[in-house]
Amino acid sequence: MLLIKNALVYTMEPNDTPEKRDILVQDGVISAIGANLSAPDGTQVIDASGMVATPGLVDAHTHAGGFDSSSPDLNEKTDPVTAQLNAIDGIDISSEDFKDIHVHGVTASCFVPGSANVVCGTGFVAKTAGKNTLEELVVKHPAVMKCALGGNPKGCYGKKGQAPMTRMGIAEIFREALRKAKDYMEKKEAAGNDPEKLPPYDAKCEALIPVLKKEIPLKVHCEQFDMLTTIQIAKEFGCNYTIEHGWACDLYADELVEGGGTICFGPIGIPEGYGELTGGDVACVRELDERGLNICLITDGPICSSETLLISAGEAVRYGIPHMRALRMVTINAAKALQVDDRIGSLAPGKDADIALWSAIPALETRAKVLYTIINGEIVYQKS
Amino acid sequence: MLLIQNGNVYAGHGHFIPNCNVLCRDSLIEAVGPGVAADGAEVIDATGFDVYPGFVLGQCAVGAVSFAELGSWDMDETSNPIVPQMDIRYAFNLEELKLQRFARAGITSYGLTPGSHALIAGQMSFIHSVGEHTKDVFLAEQMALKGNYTKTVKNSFKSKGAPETRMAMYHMLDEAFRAAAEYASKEKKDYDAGKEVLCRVLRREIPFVISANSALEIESVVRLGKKYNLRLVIFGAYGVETMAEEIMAQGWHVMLGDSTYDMAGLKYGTNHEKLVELYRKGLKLSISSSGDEAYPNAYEQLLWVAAQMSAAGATGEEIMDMMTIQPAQALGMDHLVGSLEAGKQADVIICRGNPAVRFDNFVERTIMAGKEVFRREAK
Repeated sequence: MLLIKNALVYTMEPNDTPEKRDILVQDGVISAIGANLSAPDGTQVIDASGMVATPGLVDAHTHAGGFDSSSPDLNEKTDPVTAQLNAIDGIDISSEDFKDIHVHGVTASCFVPGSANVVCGTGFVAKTAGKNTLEELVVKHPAVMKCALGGNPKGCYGKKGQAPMTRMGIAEIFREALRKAKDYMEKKEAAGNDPEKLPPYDAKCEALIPVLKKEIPLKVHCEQFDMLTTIQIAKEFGCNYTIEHGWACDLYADELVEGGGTICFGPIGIPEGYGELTGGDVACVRELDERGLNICLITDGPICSSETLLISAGEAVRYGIPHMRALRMVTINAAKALQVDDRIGSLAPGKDADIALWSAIPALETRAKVLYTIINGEIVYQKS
Repeated sequence: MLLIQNGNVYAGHGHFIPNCNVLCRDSLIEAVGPGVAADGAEVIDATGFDVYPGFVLGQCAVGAVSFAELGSWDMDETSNPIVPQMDIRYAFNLEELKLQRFARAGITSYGLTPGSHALIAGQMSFIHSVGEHTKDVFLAEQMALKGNYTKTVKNSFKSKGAPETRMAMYHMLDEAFRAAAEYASKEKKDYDAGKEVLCRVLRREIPFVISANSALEIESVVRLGKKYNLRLVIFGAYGVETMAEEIMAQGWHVMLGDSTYDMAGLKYGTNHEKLVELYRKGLKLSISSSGDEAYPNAYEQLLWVAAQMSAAGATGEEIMDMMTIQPAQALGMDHLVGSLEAGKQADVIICRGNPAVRFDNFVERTIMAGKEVFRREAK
C-alpha cells in the first residue's frame, strides 16, 4: 500500500477543483482520495506537502523506442498498405528514448508506426515503466489503426514513381483497403462457422475488421485539408477516427466538430511556412476545445522529447487556453482518445494508480519538475 | 514619440525600476526613468505590468529557409564544406518573415544564420523580427561567421568527399584558418573573398559562432579557438559543462540550443542544473532555439528552453538576462539591443509578469523599433 499525504491534487475528474488531499493506493489501484486518510502500519507514506499531484501524463502519439536506432523499426516502407503490422513488434523498451519517458511524468503512451504508408499498422497503449517486458506494460493492443495522408506517403512512394504519387492516389488506396476489408468481413460473417465458405485468409483485412466494427479508431496523420478526406472516408465506412497532428485544424472547425473525432494536435511551435508547414501553433485548437471537441496534445516522440508534452500544455496556456483545459489535453482527453479512460487519465478510486508528483503547478509554473512518477502504485522515478 | 508609462521596468541583472517610464523617439530609446516624459508622445499605460527588453534570439535561419522549396532550401550552400564568403542576406525573404509569430513570442531581434550543414557556412546578419521592408529589417550585416562542427556536417559531405570524420573536420578548419593567416601576411595576393572573411575572424573583428553538439565536438572547437585566438560563441553546446572552466577563462560565450527536439539525439548531453551553477560562477550563457538541427527550424522553443532552465533552478531574472543582454553581447550587438537604455533600439515587451516564470505571464504588447507590432487579444 502507498499513501500520498497532503498533495495539492488535480484529479482531472469533471468539475473537480484542486485541493489539498491524500491519495491511498492499494494493489496498484487508487482506493481513496480525501482529507486525512489513514492506512495500516507498514504502509509506505510519501509526505507530499508542497507538492502537486496530477494523473500521470498520457501521450496519445509517440514513436519513442522505435526510431532511435540506426535502423528505425516503425516505418516499413515497402508497401503503402501494411495494416497487418503492429507497432508492438517495433518498440525497444531498453532504448534511451523509451527509458526517458516516465522521467517526465508521462505514465502511458500510445506507440504508433511511422507515417510512410497510407495504412501503417496498429498502435498500442502501454505504461512507460515498472516492468521488464513490453508485454507486461501493455494496457491495450491493438488500440488504434495508424494511417497517414499527405506528404509522407507521397514522399515515400511518389518519389520512386510508385503509387501513391498524389493525395488523390492516397484517398483511393485508403478507401480501397477499407472496401476490401469490409467485403472480406461480410464474406466471413456469411460463412458463419463453415470453413469451406470462408474467404482465403487475408492478414490486412483481418487487421482492419476491428476498425470496421468500431472497436478501435483510425488514427490518421493529417495536415490541413487531409482532415476532410479522413472525415469523409471514416463516414463512408462507419469508422471512428482521430486526427493526428491536425495542423491548421482551425480552418475546418465546423466539419471537425460535426465529425466528432479527437484531434491529437502537435508537435507545436512549428514556424509558418507554406503547404503542410502551416498552422503549427496551438492556438488552432482553442476554438475547437471551446466547442466541445476532444483535444489532446502529443509529442510525436522522438520528434519532440517526452518533456515537451508538459511544455506543450504550458504553451497552450500561453496561447490563451485556460490552465485546467490545457492540463486535460495531456491527461484525461488523451486517455479518452485512446479509449482507455476507464483505467487512466484521471485520479479516482478504482483507476490505475498512475500519478505524477510535481514541485509546482505543472503547465502553469515553469519551475514545476517531476519529483515522483508512480505507475500502478509503484514509484518508478524519484528526483534525486 | 512613444511613452511607455509607469511600468515595472527591468534594468537587467535582477534589478527592476518601479513606476518607471520608457521614452522612445523614432526607432530608438531616448530615455528611461521614473519622471521621463515628452509633450505630444503617444502613451502606453504599463501600470501593473513588467517592461522588459525584447528577447534576442542568438541564431535562427527562419526568414532565409525558403520553406516553399522543400529540398532546395536557401540557407545551406553545401557545394563546398568551407564557404565563409556566403552571406545570409541573399537568402533572406521578407515574405517568409512576415508569416511568423516572433513578436508574439516576445522575440524582437535575432541572428539570421546560415544553416548547419557546411563546416564554415557563411556570414550572419542581425535583424529585427518584424518589418515592412527588407532594408528596415537589417540591423547589422556580416556581423558574425557561422561554422558547424557536428555530425550533420559529416553526414552532408560523406557522399561528396571530405569531411567524413571528426579528424577531417578539424584538419579542414585548421587549414582554412592557417591559409587565411598566410594570406593576411602577404602583401601581393590574388583576392580571395572567403579568406577575406576569415581574416576578419582572425583579427577578432567578428565572432565565430560555431555549433558543437557534444562534449567531444566542443573540445575540438575549444582547441581550434585557442590556437587562432578567436572570439568564439559555442552554439548548441550540449555537454559544454566539462569544458566550462576553459571557456570561462577565454571569455567565450555559450549559446545553449533547444534540447526538446529529440530526433538528433542531442538532449541527453545537457545538464541544465549544472549550467545554472556555472552561470552563477560567471559563465557567459544565453539560451536559444535549435537553429536548424531540428526540423523544421523554429524559434518559439526559446521559451521552452527558458522553462527548462526554470525547472533547473534558474531565477526568472537570470533567464531574462540569458534571453536579452547575454545573446546581445555574444553577438557583439549589445550596443543595439539587449537592454532598455538610451540610444538602443526601442525593442520592448510589456508583460503581465516574467514570461520565463509562468506560462500565463503573457506578452501583452511587443514594441519594435518604437512601433507596436503585437498586441495580445483581450481573451
